[in-house]
Amino acid sequence: MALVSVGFCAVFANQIRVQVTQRDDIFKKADTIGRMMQSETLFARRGNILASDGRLIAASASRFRLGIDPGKSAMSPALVHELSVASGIPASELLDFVSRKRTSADFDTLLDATQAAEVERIRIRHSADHVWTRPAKEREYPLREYMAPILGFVENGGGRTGVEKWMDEALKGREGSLLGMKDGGGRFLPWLMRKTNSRPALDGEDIVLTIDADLQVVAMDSIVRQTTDHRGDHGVAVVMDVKTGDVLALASAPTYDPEDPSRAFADFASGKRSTPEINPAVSLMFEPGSTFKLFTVALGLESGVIRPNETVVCSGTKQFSVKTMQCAGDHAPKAHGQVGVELCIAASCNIAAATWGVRIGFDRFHQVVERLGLLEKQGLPLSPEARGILTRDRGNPVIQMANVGFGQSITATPVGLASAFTCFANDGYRVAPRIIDEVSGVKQPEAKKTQVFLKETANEVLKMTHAVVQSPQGTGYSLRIPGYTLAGKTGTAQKRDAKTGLVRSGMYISWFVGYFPAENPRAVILVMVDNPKSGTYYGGSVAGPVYRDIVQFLIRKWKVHPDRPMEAVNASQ
Amino acid sequence: MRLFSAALRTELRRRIDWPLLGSALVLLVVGMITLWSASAVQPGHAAFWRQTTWLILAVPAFALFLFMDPRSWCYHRKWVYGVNIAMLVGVRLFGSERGGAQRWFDLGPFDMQPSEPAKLLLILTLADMLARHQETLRTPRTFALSLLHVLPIFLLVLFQPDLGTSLVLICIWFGMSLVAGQRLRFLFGFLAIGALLFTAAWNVGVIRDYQKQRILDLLSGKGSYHAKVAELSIAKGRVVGEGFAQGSLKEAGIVPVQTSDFIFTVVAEEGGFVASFFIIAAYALFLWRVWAVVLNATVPLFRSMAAGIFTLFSFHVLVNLGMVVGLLPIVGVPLPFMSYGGTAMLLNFALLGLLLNLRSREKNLVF
Repeated sequence: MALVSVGFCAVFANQIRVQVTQRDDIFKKADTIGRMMQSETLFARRGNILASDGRLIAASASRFRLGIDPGKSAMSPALVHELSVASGIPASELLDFVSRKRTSADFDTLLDATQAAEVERIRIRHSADHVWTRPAKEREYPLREYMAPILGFVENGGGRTGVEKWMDEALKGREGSLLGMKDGGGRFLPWLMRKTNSRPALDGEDIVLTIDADLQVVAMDSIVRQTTDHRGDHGVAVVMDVKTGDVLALASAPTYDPEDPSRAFADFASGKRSTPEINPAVSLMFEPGSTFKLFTVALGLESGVIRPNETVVCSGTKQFSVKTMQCAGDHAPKAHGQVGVELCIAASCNIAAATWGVRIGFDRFHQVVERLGLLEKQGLPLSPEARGILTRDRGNPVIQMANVGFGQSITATPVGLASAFTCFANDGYRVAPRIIDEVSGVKQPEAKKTQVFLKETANEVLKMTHAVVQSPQGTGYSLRIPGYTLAGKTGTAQKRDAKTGLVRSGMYISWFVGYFPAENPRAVILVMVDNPKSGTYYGGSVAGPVYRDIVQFLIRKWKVHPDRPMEAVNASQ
Repeated sequence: MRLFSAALRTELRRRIDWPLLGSALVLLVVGMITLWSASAVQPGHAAFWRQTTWLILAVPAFALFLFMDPRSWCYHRKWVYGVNIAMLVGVRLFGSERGGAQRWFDLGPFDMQPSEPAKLLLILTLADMLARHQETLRTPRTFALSLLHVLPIFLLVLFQPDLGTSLVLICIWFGMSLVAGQRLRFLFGFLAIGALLFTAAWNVGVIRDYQKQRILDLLSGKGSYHAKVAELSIAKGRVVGEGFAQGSLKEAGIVPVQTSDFIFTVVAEEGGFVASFFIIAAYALFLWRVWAVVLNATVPLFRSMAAGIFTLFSFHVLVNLGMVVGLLPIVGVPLPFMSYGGTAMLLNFALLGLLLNLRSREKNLVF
């Protein structure tokens, strides 16, 4: 009896303590007790990426899978039935799965967002923690390989490479969280929420690229084909709007499936390809070769180094300081004879370009290369960016400048070059590249324009590029399209050994830079195939066809009318 | 079965201990009201209506134990004990398993928990046993016999597993032995051995991890989730409470098993300190009247029965309130007359009937 009385006194005293004297303390404490406060993460939807025509090219997962852990808890017939109705998976299959499997697994059947939401409701209603839905894929890329070089891919919720990585901050949004106490049904209690520690999720921002999805597909098809056919290490095709700097297509080879990049990484590990984490168009530097002669000629004309109507005699070889330069021929060095600026461009005469290069000198060249933006990063959020190099060779300036004259001893990234070449189609202004058009509906700033050449010089050089394709002497004569004037410049650079830094025979970089339409160009198209090993390596034959494919597509897309009489194209050229 | 004559029945009506019956009925009414509120989270107050059905079934049980001579059980002691064991064995064999424990017979719409009547049947047979061995009570042999009497029932319940009820059973034995005049040496020796066994069980692993955790939580003063939400729920009631059926924490269902073991939190939240005090006082009054039955019993058999009932009710009330307010570790023991639970309701009314019966008999002899 005494014990019972003591017990009653204790209960009574405690009642006073809890309900009257220490009541507020208990409430305050409850707020801070970690075990009672539960937090819940509110996931943010990753922003979509759209092509310039609004087509989805990277989307957050819209397909889900139903998963069950049969070992954890029994499934009531009601739960099985409701899950079956919601998911469309036959109840017999669910039951079979539950009885057969020991470990948790996901069903192969794909559910759409509505079905997944219904399953989620059932899960909550039945407190079935052993049932879940999860995205079937982290991210969907409808254009797969065609967009992989630009978009990259997502891994574990974050971008691994490409726009997905370099725009990750904007795309991923911000996870929200709720902190507070929950009731038995797992819902938060409104009056026990920690408002200050809770915040809503912020969905990721949608990004619109300047990329034209159709053009990208054409460019990818073409560059992948040429790179594979000629067994090149890399291939790049960049199409840029010459007025706005918008990158309309940025194709590169090799590519990979962004929804399953593991094979590409395996190939990289076994040395069959470069890492998918870089895009050769922005991450690698190449010597531009003869395409660079356009700048040599423009600079020579504008600075007065090349006198009007001046010609250089090309006998196929010429001594510069201690080194003999030569013009490439089929069997022996090719002698171009009397070479003026037009022929230097059309026939790609090294001797003339080297002669003028030496006359121009390092300082003037460096100044222009700098203004062309070749020595700086282009600012495209695609992969780690490289920038071109042109440093003064103290040893033998004559040999260096002769080399620079025809595009050796200087390096640039393909995208940097494409941007530099806009100057001839844009009254002398070079336009920086631009690939992000809109972020969350906000138009991104316009591309920077820098005047490099005078309007007259630019137009004159542009005119000369017509002959590369249209003139029988031109190095790109085989690329003609009946009825249309094409303009461009081929390039075949000798590739340096990555280790020694010396030019190695038999290793080339094939280039083609072209404009379309030839009069009043809208697009500059830069094509490069790195180290073709098929035996064919001239820019006109390896890179040129990609330019041609792209132009043929642009003719249809832009509905460009023919500007010259149709003529028979000699296929043997 | 010897029933009273009509004259005695009239006598009985005069000899009813009204405070005892009254306090029990008050608790029942308050309990039902609270259950109505607590079951509001269920569709159609399901728990309330089930409890009402059980209450109706409890009336015949109440009447049976009120009018039947308590001694009549003694003539059938073997049957009573046998039925008790048979039910507990039966539930091991045929009972349905829920939440890892095999405690219930599934009787269609209702469930029956044989560990509830086991308490009553134990009180009846143990009281008989102690009364019959009154002369040799303080010998080790009788002590051992009484221990053997309770041990099978205790173990069957313990391994259901149902720690709370098995503790009630051993407490009933302890209380009845104490009141019957057992040697304190034996009883406290038993307690010491029990403590040793408990330590061993703790280390060997018979005590389950969740049970260990409950005790550790209590000792560390940190409190388990269950104890914390209960305390919070009580604290929310303040002095006058949130108002009937207004408890927001109750509405949220944050306190587990709130209709049964934790029903007191509903009273405390919705009725505040005032209602809690009223309930505690009602239980105190009730137990005081039960204690009066023990004190005034003149026959050893009656005294033992009353002592068993007193121990049972005290244990239930104190352990339940203690655990709800966080003074004791959490053991699943319902609150008499208030908690939802059909078999328990039946049992409580049978016990109440028996108590009133015993109470009416003590002065009978004086006349």
